[in-house]
Amino acid sequence: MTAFLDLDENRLVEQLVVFFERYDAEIKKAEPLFEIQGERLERLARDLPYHQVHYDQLAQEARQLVKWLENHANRIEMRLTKNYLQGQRAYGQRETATLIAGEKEMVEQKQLIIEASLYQQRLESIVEGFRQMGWMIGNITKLRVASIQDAII
Amino acid sequence: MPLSNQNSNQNQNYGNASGNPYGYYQVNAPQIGLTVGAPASSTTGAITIQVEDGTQLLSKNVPDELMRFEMDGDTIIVSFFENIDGKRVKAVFAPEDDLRPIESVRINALMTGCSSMLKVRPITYIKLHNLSRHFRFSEV
Repeated sequence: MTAFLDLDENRLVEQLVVFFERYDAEIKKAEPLFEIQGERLERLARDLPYHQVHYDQLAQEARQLVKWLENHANRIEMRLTKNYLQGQRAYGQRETATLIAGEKEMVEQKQLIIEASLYQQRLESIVEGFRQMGWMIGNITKLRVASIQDAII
Repeated sequence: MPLSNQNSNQNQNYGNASGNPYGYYQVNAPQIGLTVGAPASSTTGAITIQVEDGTQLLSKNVPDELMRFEMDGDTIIVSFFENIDGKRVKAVFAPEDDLRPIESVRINALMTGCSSMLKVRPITYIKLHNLSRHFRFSEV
């Protein structure tokens, strides 16, 4: 079971903070993993897939959180549209959409989506960093095997 | 003259000079005072250490406490502090029932910022993001 099945629209106040706090902590934890000076090559090569998978899973989770929040935004939009349609003044479709986009509830929901998207992108960039690191470690290993790590071009 | 005798003479001389039979000068220790000054900036206070004659040994701005957690029975009380217009303002977190998700995320970001000792100005942040209704303000 994923955390999303437990996510409740009425408890977003507490639940979203937990998600964001976790992403924040994990992003901070990733920074020292890129400092490889003085580390054993074998240990780096061995641990790298584990880190990559871990952050990839987090990035995927963040992506789903964005989708979940977008879904919630659609729901708010639907409710607000209904209110506008039931109002005394009849607005056109475009007018209604513009007015709804400026509604406080809608703006706040979009801010949450932006926040979640930012976490997703930061996690994805960490995964990309690990990919680059894997490529780099592979090359360093090849250079060392060929004993040409000091070669100057 | 043997060394021991020489020392004993010197001691005697010191004793005579100070009028102290044990051979030491009496020196009155200066009184050192510690002054906690008025707020120096929004997040720092002034601290001064000076001798009684007015000579300052240390005078510097030190970071002020930004956030405090206190226990009141089972409840955790979170307070934020900032110096505004020379006054120390305290904001106690007392959320309204209709706390919205974005407000919750922002308050959490404020706590993270304060605990990691970033240059956060908590009260300014609270007012800037219209979170005032979830806090009780007072002067300390």
